[in-house]
Amino acid sequence: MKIFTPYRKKLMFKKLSSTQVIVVTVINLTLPLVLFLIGNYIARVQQQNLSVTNEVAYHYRVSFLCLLLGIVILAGINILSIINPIISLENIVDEYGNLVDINDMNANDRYFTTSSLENMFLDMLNDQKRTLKRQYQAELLRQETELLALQSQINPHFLYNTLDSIRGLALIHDVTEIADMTEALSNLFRSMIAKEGQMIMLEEEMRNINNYMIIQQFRFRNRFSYKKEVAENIMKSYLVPNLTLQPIVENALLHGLEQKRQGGEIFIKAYCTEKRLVLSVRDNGVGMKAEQLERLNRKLNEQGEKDTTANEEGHIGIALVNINQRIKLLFGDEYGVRIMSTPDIYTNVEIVMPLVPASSKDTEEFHYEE
Amino acid sequence: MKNEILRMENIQSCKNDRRILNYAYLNLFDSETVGIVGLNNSGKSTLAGAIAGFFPHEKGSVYFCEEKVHFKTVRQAREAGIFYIQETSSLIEQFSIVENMFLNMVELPDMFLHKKSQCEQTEEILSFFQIQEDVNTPVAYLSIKNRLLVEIAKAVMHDAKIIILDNVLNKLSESSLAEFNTLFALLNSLHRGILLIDAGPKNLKPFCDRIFIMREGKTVAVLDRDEIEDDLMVSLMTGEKFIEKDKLIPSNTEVDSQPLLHLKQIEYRDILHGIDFQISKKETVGILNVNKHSGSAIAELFMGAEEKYNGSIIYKGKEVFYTSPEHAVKDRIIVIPEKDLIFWDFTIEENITFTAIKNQRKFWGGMNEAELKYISSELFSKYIKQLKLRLHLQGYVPKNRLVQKKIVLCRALAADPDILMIQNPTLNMDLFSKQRIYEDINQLKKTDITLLIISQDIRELLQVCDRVVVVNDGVVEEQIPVTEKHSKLLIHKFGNQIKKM
Repeated sequence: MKIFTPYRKKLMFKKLSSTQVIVVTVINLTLPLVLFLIGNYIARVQQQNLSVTNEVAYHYRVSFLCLLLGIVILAGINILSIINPIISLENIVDEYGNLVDINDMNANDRYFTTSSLENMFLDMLNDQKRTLKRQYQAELLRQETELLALQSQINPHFLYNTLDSIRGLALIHDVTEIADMTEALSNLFRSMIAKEGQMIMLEEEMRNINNYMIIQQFRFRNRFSYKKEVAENIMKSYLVPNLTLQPIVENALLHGLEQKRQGGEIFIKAYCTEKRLVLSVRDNGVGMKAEQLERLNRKLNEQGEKDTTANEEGHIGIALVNINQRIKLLFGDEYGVRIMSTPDIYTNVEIVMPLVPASSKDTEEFHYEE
Repeated sequence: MKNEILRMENIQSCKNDRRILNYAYLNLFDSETVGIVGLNNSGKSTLAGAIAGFFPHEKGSVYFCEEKVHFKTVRQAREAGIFYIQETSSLIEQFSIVENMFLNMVELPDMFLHKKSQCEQTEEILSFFQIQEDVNTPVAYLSIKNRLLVEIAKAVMHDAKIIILDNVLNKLSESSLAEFNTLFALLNSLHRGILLIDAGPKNLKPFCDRIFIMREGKTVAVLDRDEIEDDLMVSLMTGEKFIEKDKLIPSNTEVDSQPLLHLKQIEYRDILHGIDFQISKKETVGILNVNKHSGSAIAELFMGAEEKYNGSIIYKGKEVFYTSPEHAVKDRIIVIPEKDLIFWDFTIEENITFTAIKNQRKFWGGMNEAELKYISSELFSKYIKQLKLRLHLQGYVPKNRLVQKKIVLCRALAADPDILMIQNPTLNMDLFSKQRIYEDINQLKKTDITLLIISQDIRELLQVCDRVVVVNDGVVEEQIPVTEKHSKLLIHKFGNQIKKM
């Protein structure tokens, strides 16, 4: 465990070595006393040497003057040691926007900035600047990569048109299976690409799953069955983030049922309560080992920490963690993904999210696309 | 739209460094009867405790009627409308029905309620539940069924939204159980949610709309009414696939003519009913404890039996009777109980050498300190140092369950045992710790020590034992060698016992 951050270390070091701090403390503690004693001493000497009528008054006057002098000296020291650094910090904050890197400032300036508070603050701003710069660069890089990826991709419209042509040709030659498969693929791509990251109607997400299952049923030659229990009114009334269920169904199929020769089953269920929409995908595939499940549960419950590193769980873990993260970012930490699994027997992934009612515009858009 | 009256997500709870609940889950809709089933120590009652207020959870979320709650006392839960009815009745036997009905439930302004009014209310609720008893009858005179009905009536009278029945149905007769079907339907019609908890599926199947299956502190599956099948439930409860009997290979266990230990027809405390098995030298035998009391009773025989037992224990050819654990230690038989006994004011070294002190005593009373130090450092480096936890012999025992279990194991080994009995060695441990304990047991198997592992975890026994003795209701059901081909038979036997529960 890191006990001290570099800042803290620096601060401790400064505190221990800075003679300034010690001197200020000593002066603050001793000066008023010393001055008071000196004043007292002067008053006593005066009292002995001079014949003063109002001795006591004189005594107090001198003491008071000395105390006043002490306060003035202390104020001066405090201005130098406390107020000046704060004013200096204010200046730094004012200039913060203009500075590219605070380390670029004159070395002498830095040297004469003796206060540990100022140094710490400068370091903190510097780090913040660097982080922002890194984030900016990462974002730039991501955009560049996306651009490159898009450039290298086939124009989606060209893809849809080609798939439609294949479908037409298949229908002409009376090969309905190819026509159905091509239509399913085209519809799936249309929704996946065009509405990436958007909220879509649950009905549309279910239609995507249907299309996906049509394709996979051809591939696996109906080795598994697919059932769903989702009420019509729920499908037509609520929105879900695009690609919420489909990756989970894909996981269930490719990681759970692919190795199963027969009797595979995928069951999708949905219900809503007053505040929540609960979707679940259940399969009877190979499932997850206890250790794997433990790690995945831990990841799903780590709040705000994104871990997309590939590991032995591979795609299955990453897909679930990503969906969980998306839901938590969109709706809050009380929602997300939950998983139950027993190897070779049962796996159930449940997605909990708030009810997001579909507007009439969403419904119209969906039916128009249909 | 469903009315979800209870939702518990990712519930985690610990007790004495043991993880009892680990990402447990439960939900209950209005007017629904739901069951929780799982083997002993799977966390069923603890999960119910998290909502009933007697075992507040540490992590996770509980939503009651869609609002986040955290009940820390039973009173809070009762005020919210959650009633927990357990195996041992909460009714006071000497009090009458009406007195019990209002016990702990009367708010201050109502304290001055007339007895007549209380009686009327009680009469009304009793007639509603068709309990034909006088309201002034003391509870001690009621049948088990009527006591349970009175508790349920009390819950309904005080406006409970959820009624939890923990392990109470197995006390009822077949005819009473049939009547409860109507009762639960009646309660559901009153918009009451019912949560039934049981160790076996038999009692839950007729009543439940859904069954939650728990294993090792986790909820591993939720089955709807039409999905409830015995084989599937057994598989989920044990974590091993249940195989049909005709696909199994029967077992043949050879009988040793000169066993090291022989428990001969032992009958003890109405728990062991003529248990009979033997253990050979250097063998690792598992006692698969279907009914949890049988295993504890076997261990008790070697820790000083509370009562006299019938039958005999033959050890190294001689009949023995142990009155205390020290007595058994003298014969080099050591029992490591489920609960780790740690002396917190002692150092690790002192904790380890505790049992060895007697053996290392010189005849004039002094200690052979050099030998004690040698023993403790040997055991420490062999079993504890490998954990790389910056522990040293003169340090105090850390709050780490694995280290504590290892210290207890080292303490037992310090006495140089011939037979080591370990009761539930990895109960409520995390997977990493379990694996370390299995490694230690496998290391012990290479020595001359004979091991007897008493456990309810079938997978644990399959990992470490040479032979498993299936014990249920105090009798040996079967003895099965642990080989690849016989492990499925063992699971089948265990599964069949669970089905009957």
